[in-house]
Amino acid sequence: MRVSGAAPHRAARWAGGVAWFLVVVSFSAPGSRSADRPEPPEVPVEQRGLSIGVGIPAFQAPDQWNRPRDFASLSGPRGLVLLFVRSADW
Amino acid sequence: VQLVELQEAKDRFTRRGLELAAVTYDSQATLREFAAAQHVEYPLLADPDSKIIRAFGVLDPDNSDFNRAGDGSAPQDMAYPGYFVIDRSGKVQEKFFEAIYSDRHTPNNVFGRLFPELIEKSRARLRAAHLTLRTGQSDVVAAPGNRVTLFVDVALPRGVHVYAPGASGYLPLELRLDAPERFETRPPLYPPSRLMDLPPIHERVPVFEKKARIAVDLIVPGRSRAFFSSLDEAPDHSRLVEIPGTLRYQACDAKVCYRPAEVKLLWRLTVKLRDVPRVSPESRRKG
Repeated sequence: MRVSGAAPHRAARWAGGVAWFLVVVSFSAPGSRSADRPEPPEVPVEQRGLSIGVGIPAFQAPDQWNRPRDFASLSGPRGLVLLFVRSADW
Repeated sequence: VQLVELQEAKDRFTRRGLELAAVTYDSQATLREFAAAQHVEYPLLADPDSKIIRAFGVLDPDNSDFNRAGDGSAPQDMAYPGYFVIDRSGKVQEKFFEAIYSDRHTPNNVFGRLFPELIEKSRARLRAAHLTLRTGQSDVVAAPGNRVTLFVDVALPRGVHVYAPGASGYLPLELRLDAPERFETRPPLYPPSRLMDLPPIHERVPVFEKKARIAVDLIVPGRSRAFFSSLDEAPDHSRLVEIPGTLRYQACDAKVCYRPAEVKLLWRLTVKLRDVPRVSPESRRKG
């Protein structure tokens, strides 16, 4: 069971939130002693995403200034650090 | 939080020729408002159909209600959180993902993996029997779920070696952390060792000479309600955590192997809750 998003600030919110507490209680397994979020099944992390050494696919997407961006326009002289996150509005 | 952490570390990467960008399944409107509010200066790419997320193979298949952002009404198909480092030719050079979705490498942790020589070390050198030690860490402040690197640099005088892991019959260099409750550690990372010939006893054993860094990644609890509560109640929503460790080794030179030695080490990490406000309701993704 995932109680909420992983981002700590959300957890801070639900730490004091009665509504969240009720949600947690209602979804807790019978007899469960711990309110901690259980770990989801282990995923072979090395298999996640493109492999090292593989060329990335072409992509294009608008940035926050609504400019269309592709890899060529994003990369620096030594490359690009591309972070995938779940959401900016978590 | 990750997006804000990356902004704070931006200059470290760009000074080394690496630019930054992030992809989320959010709308462009969400990212525009978020970036303005949080002063994010690197590109945030809107991938509302999760096409880029799929193309990079990082779509989280868990579309259950508990794996939704925002108020639960947002569409699904989010990404696993993690980093790709892509070289100038467009090939994946490194990637940093966690098996558990709530554990995340800090940007400084990623930077330290890419440029290990550039992580800040403590100024104090610790003298121990036959060697000198210096501790360091990728981050001094971290948030719940963060993965930070703690390390110790071992400097050996000329002619002295210590045994490396895999040296049977000898006491190899070993770092053990006494992680606080609910904290997790990953197995220590050792540098490549050298096989040393010991002709008198017809053996070849792996050793470290001159210098060696042993690094251990520490995961701050990211799923413990009790831990979150303790931070929430703490002044400034932060706690100073001490992480003791023990380094064991046996130093030898060409003539003699000295008695096994043990050194106590200590790292300090401030764990702090960070609350990033949500974007306004009109900029949020709708279901």
